[in-house]
Amino acid sequence: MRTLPATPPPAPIPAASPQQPGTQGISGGQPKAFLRPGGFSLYQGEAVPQQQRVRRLALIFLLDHVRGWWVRVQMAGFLLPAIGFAIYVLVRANLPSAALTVPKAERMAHILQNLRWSFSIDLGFLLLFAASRLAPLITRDANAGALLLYFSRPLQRDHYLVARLAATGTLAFALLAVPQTLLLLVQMGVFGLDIGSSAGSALGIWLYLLLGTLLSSAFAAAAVALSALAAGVLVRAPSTVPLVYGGGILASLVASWVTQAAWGRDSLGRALDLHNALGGLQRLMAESSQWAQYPDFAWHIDLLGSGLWLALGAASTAILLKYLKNPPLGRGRA
Amino acid sequence: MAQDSPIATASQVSRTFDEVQALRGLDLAIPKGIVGVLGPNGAGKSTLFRLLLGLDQADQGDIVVLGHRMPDDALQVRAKIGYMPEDDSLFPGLDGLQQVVLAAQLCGLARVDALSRAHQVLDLVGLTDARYRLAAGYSLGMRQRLRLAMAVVHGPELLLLDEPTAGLDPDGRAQMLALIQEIAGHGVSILLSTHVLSDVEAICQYIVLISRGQLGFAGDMARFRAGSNGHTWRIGVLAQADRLVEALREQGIAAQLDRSDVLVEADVDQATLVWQAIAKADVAIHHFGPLEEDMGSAFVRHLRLDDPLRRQGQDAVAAALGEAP
Repeated sequence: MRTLPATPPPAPIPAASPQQPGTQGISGGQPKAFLRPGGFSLYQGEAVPQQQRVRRLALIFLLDHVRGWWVRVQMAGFLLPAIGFAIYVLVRANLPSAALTVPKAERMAHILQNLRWSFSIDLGFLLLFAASRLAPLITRDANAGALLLYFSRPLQRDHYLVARLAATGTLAFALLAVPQTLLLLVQMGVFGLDIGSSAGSALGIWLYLLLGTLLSSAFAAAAVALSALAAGVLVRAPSTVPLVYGGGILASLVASWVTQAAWGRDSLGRALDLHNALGGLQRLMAESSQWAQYPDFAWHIDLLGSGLWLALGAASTAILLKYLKNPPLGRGRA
Repeated sequence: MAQDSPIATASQVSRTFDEVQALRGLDLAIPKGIVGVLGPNGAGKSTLFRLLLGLDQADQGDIVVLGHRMPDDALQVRAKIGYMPEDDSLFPGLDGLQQVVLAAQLCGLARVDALSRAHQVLDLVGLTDARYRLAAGYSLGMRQRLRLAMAVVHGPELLLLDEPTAGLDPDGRAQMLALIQEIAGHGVSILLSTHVLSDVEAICQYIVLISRGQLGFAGDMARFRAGSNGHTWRIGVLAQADRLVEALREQGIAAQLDRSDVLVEADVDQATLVWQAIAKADVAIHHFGPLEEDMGSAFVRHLRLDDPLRRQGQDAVAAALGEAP
C-alpha cells in the first residue's frame, strides 16, 4: 500500500514588534507591523516632460560633482594659475621702472602667452581631475547597481548618457573657462584699449580673445568629458579607472618625448602629446589672429593634435553608446 | 485570487543567454492582487522581471504589461511600475531622502511633488529619523525599506519586488510584509519573487511557479497546496480514528492515521464509500476536506512534477524500495 504523506504543522508566522508610542498598527490579517501615521497613498499628480527630467538629472549629477569640501578645494586650485598670472600682469604694469614694463609692441604676445600658459596648466589640472573624479562615474554607478535603478525607470539609456555628459562637460568647462576669463578681464583692465591700432580694433581683439577662450574651453571640456567617461567604462573596478585614463595621457606624453628625441622637436611626434594637443585647440581658436607670426609647422601640429582629439571624441562616443546598449545591471556586475 | 483581466501576460516567451536557456516557451497570465513568483535559483524569475520591465528583449514570444507591448512601450510601462531589485542597489553618495527624491524625479514627478512624496513614503517605511543620513550607512533592513520607498514613491499600478525580505530578521520581515500588504490594499498589484515560502503563504493570493524556464504551476494558494494527486482527503475524527482506518480499508480505500486525523486517498466518485465507512465505524468527525500540504512539500512536489529527470529519479528510488511509483 502506498504511504500517504504526513502533514507537518504550518510554519509559524513571525510575530510583529510591539507597538511604539506615536505609531499605529495597520488593520488586516497576519503579519502585523506598526507604521507611522499617514500610510500609503497613490500619487495623482502630473508627470513632467522627458526633456525636463533629463535636465533635472544633469543638474543632480552636476551638484553631485561638487559635493564635499575636498572637491571644492581641488576646484579652487584651478584658479591659482590665473591668479598667479594676473598678479604678474598687475605687478609688471605697475613697476616704477619703465624698462621693466611691457612695451606696447609686445603687449599682444604678452597677453597671449599669459593666457596660453594659464590654459595649459589648467588643462593639466583638468586631466588629473578627470582621471580621479570624472572617469569613474559610470563604473561607480554600475558597481552600486544604480544603472539598474536608472534604467528600470522611464529613462532612456541615451538620456542617462546625455545627462552625464552635460554635467561632466559643464563642470569641465567651468573649471577651464572661469579662470581664463578672469585672467583675460584682468589683462583687459590693465591694458585697456591700448593694444590695437585704434580703440575699435582693440575692442575687437578683446572680444575675439574672449570668444576664442570660451570656445576652446568648451571644446576641451567636451573632449575631456567624453574621453574620461569612455575610459571609465573600459574597466570593471572604479579604483582602476584613474590609472587607465591617467596612464593613457601619460603614455601619450612619453610617446611624444620618445618620438621627438628620435626625430627632433619639430616632428609630428609633438602632436602625440594629448595634453599639448588640447592646448593646440586654444592656440588655434584664441590666437588665430596671430597665426602669421607663428611657424607654419606649429600650426600644423596644433591642427593635427586637434584632429586627434576629435577622433578620440568620436571613438569615446562610440564606446559609451556600445556600453549602454548592454550595460551591467545589478550591484557589482560592472 | 484571479480577478478581471490579467495585469501582465507572456505568450511563448523564450530567452537565451549564450548557452543558457533562461526561459523556454513560457506562457503566463498574471492576475491582479499579490502574486508570489516562486522557483529555484536560475529558474528564470529575474529574467521574467527584466522582460516585464523592458530591460531585456525576449528572443521570441510576446509580453504585454498593463496593456502595453514590451519592450516597445517600455517607457510608458515603467512609469506605471515600481521595481525593487534583488541586488543591494542604491544611488551612490546620496542620503535616504535624496535617493527617494531622485527615484521620484526619474519617474516624472516635479521637484516639489517628489520632495513631498519622498517624505511621505519615508514616513511610511519608518525611516523618518534616518532620512538625512547617507544611505550607504543604513543597516540591511533599512536599505530594503528604503528601496521599497523608492519603488512606490511615484504611486505605481504594479510593483515588482525581487526578494524583498532577503537577509531580514523576523521582525524586519514581518514589517516588510505588512508594508507590502498595506500598499496592495490601495489597489497596487504586486509581483513578489522570493525563496521564503512562508512570506508567500502569509500574503500572496496567487502563485506562479517557474522551473527551468517554464511554467511549473499557476493558480491560487488552495490549488497549490492541494494534495499530491488532488485526491487526498483529511478527515478529522473526534475519537477512535483507527476504527475508521479499518473500515475504509475494508471498503478498498487507502487510508492511514495522521495523529488524530485520517488521511484518505480516494476519487470524488468514491465519496459514498467513504461516508459508508464513516457510518460503519460509527465515529464522530469534525472535518472532512482535501488535504493541504505545507508550502515546502507543495513547492517540491510541483518542481518534481515539472522535472521529468527528477521524477524518474524519484520513481527509481521508489522502485528500489519496493514501492509502487
